[in-house]
Amino acid sequence: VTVALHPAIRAMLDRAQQAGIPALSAGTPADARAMMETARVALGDGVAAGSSTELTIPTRGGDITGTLLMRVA
Amino acid sequence: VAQSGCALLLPDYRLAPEYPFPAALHDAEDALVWAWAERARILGYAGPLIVAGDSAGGNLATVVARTVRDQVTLAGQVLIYPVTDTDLSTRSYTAYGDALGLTRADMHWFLNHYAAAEHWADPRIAPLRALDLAGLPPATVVLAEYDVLHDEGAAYASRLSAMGVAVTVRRYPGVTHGFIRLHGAVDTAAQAVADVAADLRRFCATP
Repeated sequence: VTVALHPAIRAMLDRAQQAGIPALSAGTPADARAMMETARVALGDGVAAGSSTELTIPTRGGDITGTLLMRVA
Repeated sequence: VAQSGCALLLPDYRLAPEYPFPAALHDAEDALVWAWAERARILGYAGPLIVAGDSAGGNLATVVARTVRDQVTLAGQVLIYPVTDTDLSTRSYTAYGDALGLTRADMHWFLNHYAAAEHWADPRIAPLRALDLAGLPPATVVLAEYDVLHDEGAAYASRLSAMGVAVTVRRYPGVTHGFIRLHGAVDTAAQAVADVAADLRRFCATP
């Protein structure tokens, strides 16, 4: 079933176009990451997870970090 | 986390183009194997493990579900509008590839940064082209109607099902790529979050 674009999403796309926000592919990877981060902040945080713990994960390319989110009982 | 009750591990894998394919895949594989081995220490119990991701993360999720299937037992995979192929000429690319957030040009740009073109047919980049998808964990595949990735996601769900994998396809009308991040503003996205949380609980409850 095809339906019309959700009005809230239509409005967001229209605002982005009117503001002249470029496509993700219009700049550098750093630009794209910055745009994604800006959008993430603008959307706000979700429901609080409870606890957040930074972990170190060993990989063949060296250690990477990981964030463990858990709901508090 | 709040709705499913599951703990969530977010590995900070290396990004292209600084670290091109297969660096991110290797990190994801190693993180998954590590999580499987260490989950009892981390969580305090050896609970079931599910792999999940959206968009490019959905690609990594289902690829690692296959590449480490001999090392890790997964209870499920949740693939939210995943990248499953490198064919940018599908119906959904043709219909929605110009102006609805994620465009064909964006995807070409992402792929070019992720991997050299000679790797694009590699099933570790295009899992839809993998010959053997049997034995993969049950899957939830989330599709957005107005998304260039809609058709390849639907095709991948069909391939999984044909290979005997239990698949739940959740197709959301009237929304675009990335919509689930709008769960605070779009009712369809809030419903999708609730649906995925229900699937996560179901995966965890299935012996």
